[in-house]
Amino acid sequence: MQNSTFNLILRRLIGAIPSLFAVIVVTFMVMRLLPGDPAAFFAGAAASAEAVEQVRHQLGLNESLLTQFWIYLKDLAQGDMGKSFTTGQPVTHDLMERLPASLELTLLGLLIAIVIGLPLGMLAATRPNSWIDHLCRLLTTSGVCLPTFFTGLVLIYIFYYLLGWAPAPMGRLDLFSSPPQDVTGFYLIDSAITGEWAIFRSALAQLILPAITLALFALAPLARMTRAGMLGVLNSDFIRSAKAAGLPRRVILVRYALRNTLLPVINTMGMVLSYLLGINVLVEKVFAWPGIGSYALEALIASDYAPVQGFVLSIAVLYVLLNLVVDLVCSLIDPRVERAA
Amino acid sequence: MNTNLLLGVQNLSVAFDTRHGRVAVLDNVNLHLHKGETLAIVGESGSGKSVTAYAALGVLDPAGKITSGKVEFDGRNLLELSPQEMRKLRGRDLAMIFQSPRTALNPIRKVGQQIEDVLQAHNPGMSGKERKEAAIEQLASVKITDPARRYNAYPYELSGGMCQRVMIAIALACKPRLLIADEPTTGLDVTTQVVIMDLVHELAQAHGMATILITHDLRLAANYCSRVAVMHAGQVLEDAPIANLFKGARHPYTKRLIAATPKPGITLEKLASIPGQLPDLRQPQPPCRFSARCDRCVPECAAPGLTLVPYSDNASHLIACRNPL
Ligand SMILES: Nc1ncnc2c1ncn2[C@@H]1O[C@H](COP(=O)(O)OP(=O)(O)OP(=O)(O)O)[C@@H](O)[C@H]1O
Ligand SMILES: [Mg+2]
Repeated sequence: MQNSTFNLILRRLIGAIPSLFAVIVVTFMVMRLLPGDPAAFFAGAAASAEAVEQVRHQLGLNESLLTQFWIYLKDLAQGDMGKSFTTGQPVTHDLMERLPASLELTLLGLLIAIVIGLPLGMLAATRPNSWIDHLCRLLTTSGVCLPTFFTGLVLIYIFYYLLGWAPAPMGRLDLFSSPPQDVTGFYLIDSAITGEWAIFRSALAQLILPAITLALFALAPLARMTRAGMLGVLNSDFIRSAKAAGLPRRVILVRYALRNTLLPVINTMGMVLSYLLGINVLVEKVFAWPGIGSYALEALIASDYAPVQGFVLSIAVLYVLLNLVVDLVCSLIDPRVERAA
Repeated sequence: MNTNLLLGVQNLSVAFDTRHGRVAVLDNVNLHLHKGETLAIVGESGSGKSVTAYAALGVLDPAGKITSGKVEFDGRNLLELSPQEMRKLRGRDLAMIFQSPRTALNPIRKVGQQIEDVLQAHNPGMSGKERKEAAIEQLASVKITDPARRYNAYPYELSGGMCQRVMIAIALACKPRLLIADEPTTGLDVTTQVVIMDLVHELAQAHGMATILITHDLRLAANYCSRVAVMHAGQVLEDAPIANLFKGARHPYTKRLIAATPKPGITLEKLASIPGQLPDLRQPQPPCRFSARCDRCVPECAAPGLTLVPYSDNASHLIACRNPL
């Protein structure tokens, strides 16, 4: 069994290579097709034509596209994603530094969505047409209707501007706190480990609005999938035979129905999480969140090629890993899921 | 009342709320079963056999409503019990095995654990180790070879016959007093059918358990049961000891059903079929739901108040017909 798990991981990672390569090629091309000249941008508005040419030479942009691509690939093979012109740092360093901020936000958003969406979908399925079913339907439709950045702005307007309950949307901590000692890079976890509860509170306060923004988006598909899956499972024969055997309601709902619903729900979770990684770009911008999304967005505006390429590639790798985890979890839950698939 | 009576279903009516409105599926069903007795319920597909069993056990679909009647088990009206009391009775005193063994088992749980779930539900005091031993013993009792290994199998790893054995093991785990077997052999090959039926019969005898066998196969009923109740479109039309039924069926429907049963020496082409179809229960029905298909229909058949009554003076032969054979 362990062997087949290992084989699955290996096969999936090898299988991902062509798509990752395609991602590398396409991002490389698209970045160069976009209007904007990094040399002109970095030489500054007042620079002379020679100065711009000199910068272009320094940046290696005077080489042919093919040569540039070849150099990029060679660097990538050594784990070097190039340098950001804006920060002056290697892209790998920048991304690693900002990734925890994005992941902490995204995962917390997903967690909130799971904690609310799963029970909501489950209750809605067990009581069709009750008020909880209607609430579920309302939340899932409104979550789909509103664009995420708009939800974020509305939340800021209400909870920061009007009510003053939330802190200013200005990053991961308030002005008076300094980051906790770096262990995982997740401020909530690190401050909890070291027991710095003031930092914990500040980090949590900053996280809540953007996390809820993401959660509102993720809630809809999760609750809808749980409800639909649960409804289907509750109508199946084995639930009737479990009832006929006199199993308690709780056992039937959780051990029999929910576990059989989990498979599509976990697949949905994987999908939702990969959407969230994309949507993060906007939410991070709205909340001035120092994550990889806002980093990539700034680089894109500056026509800074390397960070954008690095960002897209990291998201693609995250996406591959995420799908792998989803499949592994599914094969743990359902013995029928072919490990070879 | 007869103290030997284990189950008495009296004037049980069940309706389903559907998209097309309320459908009255069961119409005043009457059944009775004595301790240790074996009763067959036969009838065409859709005649309400399963619904009767589900209603008695309280496992009807949410759309199904019991509109009238009583289900007495051991002197208690099951329809008046609280859901909690009813749950405790199910699996412990009343058990059921189902039409399609494969889908009736939880697909992602080891079969041994599914037996343990039932044991746990009804014997909270049992330790985990005792439960596991009991589950393996239970697998052995339904003649599954190598039960300790099969404990770890998932339903998809087992054949249909094996799954049905597991279902039987689950149903009998708490030694119920009544077992309802709802077409336990559909979907199984002929040899496996015989093996499974023999197993059910043998275990029922060994535990002194009363059994209701639901089937559309009169021959199967004749082989394993002492009495047969014939159902058609949600009504019980005839209820008689098996010998009486084959020698002298009184209801025209039973007669047709017997003629439609394959016998050795009769080819399929010669086999009689029952004319017409089950009535569409969404439409209002006449008192006798068979009358539209019946060649002995007389004007009295349209009179209300059709009930199951003894035929002439034989108290064990009941019939619901205005113009019996
Ligand atoms: N959930 C439901 N909603 C609406 N009608 C139903 C429902 N369940 C059963 N029925 C109806 O009840 C009637 C009897 O069904 P039932 O399953 O009891 O038949 P059966 O005698 O067991 O047939 P079979 O031999 O095919 O199992 C059918 O007409 C069916 O359409
Ligand atoms: Mg049936």
